[in-house]
Amino acid sequence: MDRILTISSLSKNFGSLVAVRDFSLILEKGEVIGIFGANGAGKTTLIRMIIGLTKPTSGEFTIATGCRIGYMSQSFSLVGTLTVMENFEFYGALYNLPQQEFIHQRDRFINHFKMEEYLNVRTDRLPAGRKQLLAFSISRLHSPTLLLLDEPTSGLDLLNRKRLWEAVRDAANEGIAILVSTHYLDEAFNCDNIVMMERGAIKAYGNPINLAAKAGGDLINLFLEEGR
Amino acid sequence: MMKRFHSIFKHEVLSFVRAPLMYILMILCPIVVVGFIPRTLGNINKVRCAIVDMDRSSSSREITQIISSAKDCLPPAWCSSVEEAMGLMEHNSIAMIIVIPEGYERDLELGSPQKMTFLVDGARVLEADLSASQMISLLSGDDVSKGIISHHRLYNDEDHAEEFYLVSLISMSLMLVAIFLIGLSVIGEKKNNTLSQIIVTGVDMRLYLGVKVLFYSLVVIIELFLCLAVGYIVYDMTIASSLGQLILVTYIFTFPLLFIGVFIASIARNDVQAIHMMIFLIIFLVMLSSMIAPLANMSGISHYFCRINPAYWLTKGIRAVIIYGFPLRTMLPEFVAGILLSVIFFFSSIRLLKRIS
Amino acid sequence: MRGIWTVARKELSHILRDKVSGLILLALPALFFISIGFAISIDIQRIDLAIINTAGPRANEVVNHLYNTEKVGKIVMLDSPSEVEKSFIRDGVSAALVISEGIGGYNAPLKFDLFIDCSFSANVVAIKNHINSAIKSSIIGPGSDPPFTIRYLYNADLNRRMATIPGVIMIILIVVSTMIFSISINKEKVHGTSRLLSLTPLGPIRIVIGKTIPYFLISLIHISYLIFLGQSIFGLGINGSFLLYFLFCALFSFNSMMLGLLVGSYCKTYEAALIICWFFIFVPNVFLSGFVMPVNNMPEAMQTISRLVNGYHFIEGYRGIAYKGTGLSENLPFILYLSIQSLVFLILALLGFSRRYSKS
Repeated sequence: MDRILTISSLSKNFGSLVAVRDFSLILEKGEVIGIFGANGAGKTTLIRMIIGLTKPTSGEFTIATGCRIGYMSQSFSLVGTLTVMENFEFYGALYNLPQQEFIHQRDRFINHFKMEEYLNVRTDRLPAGRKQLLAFSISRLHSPTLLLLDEPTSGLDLLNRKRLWEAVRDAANEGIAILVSTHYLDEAFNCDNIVMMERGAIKAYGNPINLAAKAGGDLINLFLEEGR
Repeated sequence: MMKRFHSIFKHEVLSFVRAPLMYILMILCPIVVVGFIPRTLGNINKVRCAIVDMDRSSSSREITQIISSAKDCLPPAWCSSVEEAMGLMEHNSIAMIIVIPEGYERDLELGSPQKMTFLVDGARVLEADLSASQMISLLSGDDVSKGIISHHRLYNDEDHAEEFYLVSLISMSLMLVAIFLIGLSVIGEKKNNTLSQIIVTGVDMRLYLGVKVLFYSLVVIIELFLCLAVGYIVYDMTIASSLGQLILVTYIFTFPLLFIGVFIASIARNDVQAIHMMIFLIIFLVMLSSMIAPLANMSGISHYFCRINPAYWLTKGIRAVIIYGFPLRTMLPEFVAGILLSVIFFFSSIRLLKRIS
Repeated sequence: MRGIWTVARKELSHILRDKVSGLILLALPALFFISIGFAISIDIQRIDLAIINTAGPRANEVVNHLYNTEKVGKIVMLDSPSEVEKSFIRDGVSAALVISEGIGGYNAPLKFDLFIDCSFSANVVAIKNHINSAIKSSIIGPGSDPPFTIRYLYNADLNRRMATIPGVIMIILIVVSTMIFSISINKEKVHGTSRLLSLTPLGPIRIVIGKTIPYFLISLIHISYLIFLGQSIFGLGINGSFLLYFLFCALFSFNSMMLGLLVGSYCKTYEAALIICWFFIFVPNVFLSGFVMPVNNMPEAMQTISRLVNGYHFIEGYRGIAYKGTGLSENLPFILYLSIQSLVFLILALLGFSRRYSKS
């Protein structure tokens, strides 16, 4: 299968604090890899390095040629004073999308996530679930080949979490490589492979079903084990 | 690129228009700063004095008459002793005591006049200095200078004390609007992490920042018009040169200030830090800009700081156009310095904004 | 007490752990005091003068005298009166003096036409008087004896810094105690921690006391080193009671903090607090307190407004205690005003706090 993202021994230090330690990973087209870990495990730092917002201390990563990156941050990164429609238009223009493509993508996400009644509502007045779906739509607006989602389901209720994961799987089925960070272990089974991070390093990697079997039937046991 | 330009500009307009605080800032500036504050400036140098006439002669009465009827003196207080007058000075009722000694007229007739004593409240330095000068002019006879020394007033015939400060306050308003508005906008984008998303879209940060600065420079021009309107309505303020020149000079010198606002918002790690930095920076810029007092009133090394202060260039430029009517080519060095400073802060801000962590 | 101390400790650690803000809060006021104390002077330091001498060698003595006059800085010799206005532009002079032959032949007294830049009115009298005196003394000759002596009470050397230092201290205390403190108060609301605090048994009064203590201590530190800097750098000692001076400055600091508390407790965002502090507290205090312009020279209506501003009472009290050496009784009106005003601000602020903490 096509390799979209190859990470090789990536590390990041903030002074004496090691945020990410010797991280290696391969992400292929259409694959969903979930990154799990407690707060401070290094998930967000990893994603920010891949996007280019933070410079790695050592190691390297390569992204396939011609790859477009989509990103959804923990705090949604929407322009609060703009309406839903205006946010679409703003980011659509920044992505430099041709008008027809933009309209097609925009209408697709509006219909899929049933956002019609919210189009003229300012995003700072939207409920959290709606903001998240909007942020996800915007991350996919320019048809990226690599999608980086930083805790996309954080703070969502069960129904909205389910909706978002359905959207993530749909995106994967379209061939988009997806790297998702989350704390919710029950979401692991939505992923093709998972990475367990602890103190910046990989504690475990593999298919969630196999890992759960190895951990005595419950993935939580992987966290509770001492060492790697 | 035009599409992105248009989109970024539209985003700034909509964000600005939907933030009521922005209007409040833009309206408060002209009303409070330009409309109200200059009203506080009255005629300078009304001497507040007490007279202790220990001689009580016709000569001393002549002197006291001169003082009482002088237009630059408030009606004096009459005290029977220096101690009584000192009591008034301690209670801040007077700034000066004129003591005419006993035997003044007698000694004057004898050809060896005693000297009067002016006791001036040195704790109020400005008032003291000016009061003393006024009194010296009033009582020194001026025989030599009458008809020999003529005084001609330039740029402020009718001694409008507020003229100097009107320009200063307009400049201060523009500076506040420039630094605060753009600084708060960038801080908001950093706080909401919108900037990360914008960077990921691949848009050139030079374009993004450039459009943002361009928008806020237009906001400053609107603010200039509001200030001019208030100045005209309340104080009949007129422009010695032309409105076009005023817009040009404001426009050019606003850019360094806008970029300074962005720079501060970029280097600050959080919104509170940014606000603290903006507060102190603005106060430094105001104090060292000839807004409070002209360059000639500043001592030593502060002159040099003043000359590299963009707020000084803005004030000087606006003053040159409104009060003096000087041609703008006299400010060529400042224009060059302004462009240089803008470029430095522009590129520094881009580097810093990209390094969000 | 434990609750108050906990809140105070949290506030203090917050200030100190944000190194940049801590530096701004603790060190910058000193830098500000020194730089602005030197920079700002309401009276003219030097008079740059343009001279056009059409009277020839007869006027040389006057011109030489002007060169040696203390306040006169740069002298630019021009060729003709038509260059006067250009000289204001090009050379940045404050005045131009045209010396010409008087009417009535060779022995007629020289005529002097002094063109003054009147854009800053306060300088006009100074320029006029200095140039006039220089001309007159060069004409009358040395040893001329005016019919009066001048003694500057409380300030024998007429130290110019006396005019600006109280205002600079006032600005520092307002910035730290009002502006920065109001943002700190507002931060609880913005970050949502006020909701958490409202669930504790502390109550609004103890929370306010706890938050006030660290900033009050910082302002006391500022007052202390400003006294030291004022004395060592500007030669300005305290002529009155040191204790009264310190307590008076502390009272003003407390008054400013209560004002900051009031603003912070009612504003919803930092931006709102900043705007209100800047336009309704800082700018009026700079212009209406007597720092820039003597209050007694303002129009009557403005004098009344000026006397409502807390900075006015501070500067008046400061001058009395520090320079004139007056005591408690002479400064009682200022002390009482600041105290009562502080109490009013505190009560209004607590009402706002109670409302906010009970709603959240």
